[in-house]
Amino acid sequence: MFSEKVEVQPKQEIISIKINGQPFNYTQELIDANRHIIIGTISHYHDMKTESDIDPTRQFFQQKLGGQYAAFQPLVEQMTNDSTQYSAFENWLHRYLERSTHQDIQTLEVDVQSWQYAPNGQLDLLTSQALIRYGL
Amino acid sequence: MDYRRLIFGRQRKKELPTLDMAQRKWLSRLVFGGVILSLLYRWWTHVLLSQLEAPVFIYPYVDLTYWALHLGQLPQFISSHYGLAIVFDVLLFVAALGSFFFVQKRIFPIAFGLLYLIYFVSYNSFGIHHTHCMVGILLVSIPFWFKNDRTFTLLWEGLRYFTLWVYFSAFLWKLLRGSLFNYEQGVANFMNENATHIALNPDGWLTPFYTFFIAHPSWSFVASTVAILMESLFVIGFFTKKYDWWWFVLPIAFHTMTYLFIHVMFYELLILNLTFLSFGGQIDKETKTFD
Repeated sequence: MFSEKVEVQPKQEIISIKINGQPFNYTQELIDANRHIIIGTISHYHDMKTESDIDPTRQFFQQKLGGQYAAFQPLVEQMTNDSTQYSAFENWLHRYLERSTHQDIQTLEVDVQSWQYAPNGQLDLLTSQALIRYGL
Repeated sequence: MDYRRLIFGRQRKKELPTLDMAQRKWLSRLVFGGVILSLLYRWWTHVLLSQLEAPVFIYPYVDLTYWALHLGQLPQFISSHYGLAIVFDVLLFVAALGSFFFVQKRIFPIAFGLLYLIYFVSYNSFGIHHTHCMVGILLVSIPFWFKNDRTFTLLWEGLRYFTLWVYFSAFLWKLLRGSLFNYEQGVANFMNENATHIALNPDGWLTPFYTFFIAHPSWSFVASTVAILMESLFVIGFFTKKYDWWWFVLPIAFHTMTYLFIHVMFYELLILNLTFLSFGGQIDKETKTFD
């Protein structure tokens, strides 16, 4: 756990969620195991979006297998995500957040925010980029 | 060939303390009591397979077990059929409860171990991150699969060494990768793991604590080094059982620190602490031998 050598990253990316127009503080509202699923999948969705809907794991196999990738492609596609999952994600997130928060969700906004650490350890918001707009 | 002689050599006559059925019963109640608590936690947090609303993403990454289960489409198939997912979750609870109440019926721990493997892979894959905190629950049922007391004891003792290895190998990784000597390690972890908490809770009661450590890298380095050195202590357990109560208590303190400092919730792993219980020294007084 945390064995990899890391360097200070003053800029941090954070997922911001608004439910029915209200900020949703998932660090307080969701218990760890639940939060793990929601934030993990949103981050993966974001990764896929920035890689033009290509699953990073599929890229890993492409790099490792090189010219032999075509022979393994059907197997790799069974184990990775593509546009089918990508397009179904927002509906799933809506359903799962409704279950997790015990409320009807009419609108859902998810942003990827960039924050910068100040010398006193506090964070300042730099940018906010829309990732998901559901029901708006 | 006498494999026992090959493996144990000149120590073939050395005493092997063996846990008897009464002790197994106690252990079974403790272990599966913990397992039931873990399952209740997972039900409460909406992460059992029937509660996941048929998740769309999977993440087998580079792991043969995950590849095998996903190529067979098992996690996807169960989670996408609501009725089947409910049956799966009920069976998971039934297997854990059966292991707790009917200690001598080995079908329950066997069923639990196999069902939990599917749940373990599914949860980690659907969550897009292979967490380590459930490994204890995954492995702890295995000794109870076997009828023979000696086999049980060997596997239970093996689990004790595995638990020591979990913590000591964490130290070794940090030593060999050089992060133990990296001055920025502590403050970088504080910054990475607490950013969300600080951003969403600027007035939270723990926020001043985090910002202090971020603003004072030398204190972060000290905290990080203390935690890593705590992990190194577990090597002692490979050579003596004299301090097993320390290995029972230390992980509780360690995981409470990691939960408060960097929001890493590893309490489910504490089920492995049960391998350090000695039943008041009874196990060490047993006199059974290999022959």
